[in-house]
Amino acid sequence: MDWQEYIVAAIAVAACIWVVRRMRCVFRKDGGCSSCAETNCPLRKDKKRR
Amino acid sequence: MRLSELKTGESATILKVLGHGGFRRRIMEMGFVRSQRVTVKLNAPLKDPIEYNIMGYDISLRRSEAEMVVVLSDDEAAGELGEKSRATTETTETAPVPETTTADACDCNTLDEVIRRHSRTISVALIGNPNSGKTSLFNAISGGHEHVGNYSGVTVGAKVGHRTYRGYRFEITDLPGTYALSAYTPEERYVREHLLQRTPDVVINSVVASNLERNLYLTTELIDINPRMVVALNMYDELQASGAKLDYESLGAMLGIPMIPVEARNNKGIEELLDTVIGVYEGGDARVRHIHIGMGSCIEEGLRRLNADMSAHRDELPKSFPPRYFAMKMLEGDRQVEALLHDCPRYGEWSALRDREARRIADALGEDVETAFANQKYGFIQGALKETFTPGTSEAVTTTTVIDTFVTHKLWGFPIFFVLMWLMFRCTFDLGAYPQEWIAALVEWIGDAVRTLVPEGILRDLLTDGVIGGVGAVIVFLPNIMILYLFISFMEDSGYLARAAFIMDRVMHRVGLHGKSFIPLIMGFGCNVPAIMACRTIESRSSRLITILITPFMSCSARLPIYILLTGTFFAAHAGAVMTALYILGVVVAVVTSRLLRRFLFPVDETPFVMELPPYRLPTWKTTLSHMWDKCAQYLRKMGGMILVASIIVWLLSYFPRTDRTDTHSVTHYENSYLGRLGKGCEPIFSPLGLDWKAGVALLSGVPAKEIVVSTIGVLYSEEATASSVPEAAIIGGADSSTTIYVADPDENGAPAIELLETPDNASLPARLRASGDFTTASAAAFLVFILLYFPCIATISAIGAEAGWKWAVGAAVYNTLLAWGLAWIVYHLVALF
Repeated sequence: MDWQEYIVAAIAVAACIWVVRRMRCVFRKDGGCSSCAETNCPLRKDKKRR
Repeated sequence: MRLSELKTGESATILKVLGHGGFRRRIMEMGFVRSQRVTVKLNAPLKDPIEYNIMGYDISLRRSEAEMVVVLSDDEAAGELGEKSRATTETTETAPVPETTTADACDCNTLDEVIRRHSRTISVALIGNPNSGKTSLFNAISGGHEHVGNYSGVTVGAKVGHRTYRGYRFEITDLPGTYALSAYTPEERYVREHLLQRTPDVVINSVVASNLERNLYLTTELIDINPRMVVALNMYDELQASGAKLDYESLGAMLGIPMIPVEARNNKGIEELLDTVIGVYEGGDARVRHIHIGMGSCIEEGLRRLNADMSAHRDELPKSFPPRYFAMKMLEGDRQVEALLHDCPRYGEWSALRDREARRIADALGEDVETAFANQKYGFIQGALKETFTPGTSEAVTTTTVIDTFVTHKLWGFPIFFVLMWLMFRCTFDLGAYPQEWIAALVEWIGDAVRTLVPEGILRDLLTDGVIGGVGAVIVFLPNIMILYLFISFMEDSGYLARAAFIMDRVMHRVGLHGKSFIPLIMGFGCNVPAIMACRTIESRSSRLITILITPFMSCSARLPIYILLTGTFFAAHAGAVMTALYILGVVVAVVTSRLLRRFLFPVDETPFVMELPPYRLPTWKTTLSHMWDKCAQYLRKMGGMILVASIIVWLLSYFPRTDRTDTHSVTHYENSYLGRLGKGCEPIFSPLGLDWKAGVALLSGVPAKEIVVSTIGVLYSEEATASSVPEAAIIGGADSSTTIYVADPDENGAPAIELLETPDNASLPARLRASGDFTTASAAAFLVFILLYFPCIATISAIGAEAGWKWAVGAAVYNTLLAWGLAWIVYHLVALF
């Protein structure tokens, strides 16, 4: 693998992790905004609480 | 933590006492005041009561009383001091921490400072009528950018902000607007629940200064609860402009509540308000006193009896509200309070006493208890205002009346509304086209720069085809989105949207809904998610559910890029008409669905409603542009978030496996990629609509967010041979390397038609789409109809699930998709005939 392929592989992994994290919103009891960028996203609220 | 959570032998320092005024006074008189040390001596065998040692003597409290005392345990204090010393020894270089955002950092060196910091945190609840400026006040205090709309029901949940001022940290909760604190509407129940469970330290009651009589009713309800309270006389400039005079000092003295004139929109009076909140919190404001609003001798007699028994058994009652409040609500037959008190041992006696007294009051006054209470309170308010308020000429109301004469006229109202809608969409598409071109040129320039700077390889392909091809395809539509939201924001802030709902009420009734459903549906043209959440304001459960289920048919702004792309490509001469037809089709489908739901699933509409018409307000440019920018910032965040990630994933799926390393842009390569295989697998579903695997893949990619459809098309058609669908034999050569000429089928007169095609190297996406031959006019129309109606985005499905239940969310997804397929099939075959 050359350097470009390493970078693309890292980007691909990061994208998949991001998607999995966002999908958590779908399974929240109070719903969520898994794809929109609402400032009241429960995922963001969780981060602020922590 | 709360005092009730301490274990036997543990000690703590008291920070504050929550609850209504009478309870707090009693507890504090026992010695439970701030900074006092308290130790748990003994928990009774059934954990109630609990014995404490405070100020050198022993005292017992019930667990329910101990829950209302906030303490800082020794462990917590040691932990905070320990963190501070760890932070100072380990950190060599720390970025400065903004004062208003540090929730957890402690700059304290001693226990006293820790206690002081905790006890200087004031939780504030913002309560008021709808349209009383609570959210403006919230934004003015906290510096937040929460959305303000000039119609009821904009705040559908609670928003929290904070601010540090004079060493105090304010944690402000903006609650939904309510007219009273009964159990009639979801907002009222929500607000009362918040007061009961969260027991804020201070309540700021936002009152419209120019509409005191109506607004002060909620104030009287709050007085019954007896929290620490300050009244913010909002929009005070409107009162002064009307020529009216209000002696607010005297009025406040009568009510026992400090009143502060503010103009939240212009940021005036905010510091005085915060100073007063601090004074009330610290107990140093002499204006604060608890009053009982007289209910007249007949009602007072019944109240006295019920209250006496409840007060004698106050240990059984929740401590957040006084016994008199519970007595009043039981007399009114408040179901939520009855449910709350149902488990109390004396509930049976209270119910019997309540039934007797309610009958006696109804017989004596000739009206039910609830009406009697309301009449007494309004009488109290009128009496107070007679002494302190002198009305003016009410010019603002006159202006509203004049405008309403036209806007809500039974003949002119509808044409005015449709003209405004036409203007909104016309400006969105026509005015937005100019900056759209500039952004497209910028995206192209960036793509060229990347091709120049980055060596050939997989990373360059990702950046140009994936990121720039995907995100760039969507970001060009930002100007259109901005203009659309500018109009929607202006209509909301000015108060016109409430009028639109009013005039549409009769039309909505024919559909099986109320005029109140109209506002969420209009909001759905911006984004379906807040539109679905705004349905909470609809009291009728069946109407709320129907409105939620038909909102996805309102073509949201996320679909706008797809419409503009395809109508501009395949219906260039009639693009405007086609897009208008799409929006109308969405509305028609919504109407039909609503009627079907009303007829077969929800035949009865349970609740009448009140539609508020707030006075017109000319929104400031700053406010409107700020709201427009908030929405656009949200769109840009989506670009940097879901759209970017989806573009990368779509590109990865279309790039691998690498079958032909020398030409990753050939059709063969795409077909054999993972994306192509997925598309081929779904092709049987889409081929009856005239759509190939690429269109199918684009539609599937729209599930997380509709904008991704365009970015997927941008990736799939990023650089592709235009002659892929043209037979080799038909090509007769080209004048230079950048053009190709081929002979097409003869026209109707038999003469051969010659067509000039651009090669894709520098062609725009529409040109590449046209040149690919993958779409015909009929299949493009079917694609558009499918996009309009099918599976809403995941955010919308989540919102439906949260508001209506997951059964309805899944049902909506299935119904919408099947309907989309059916109508797209019909449209495809109809258009193919022409």
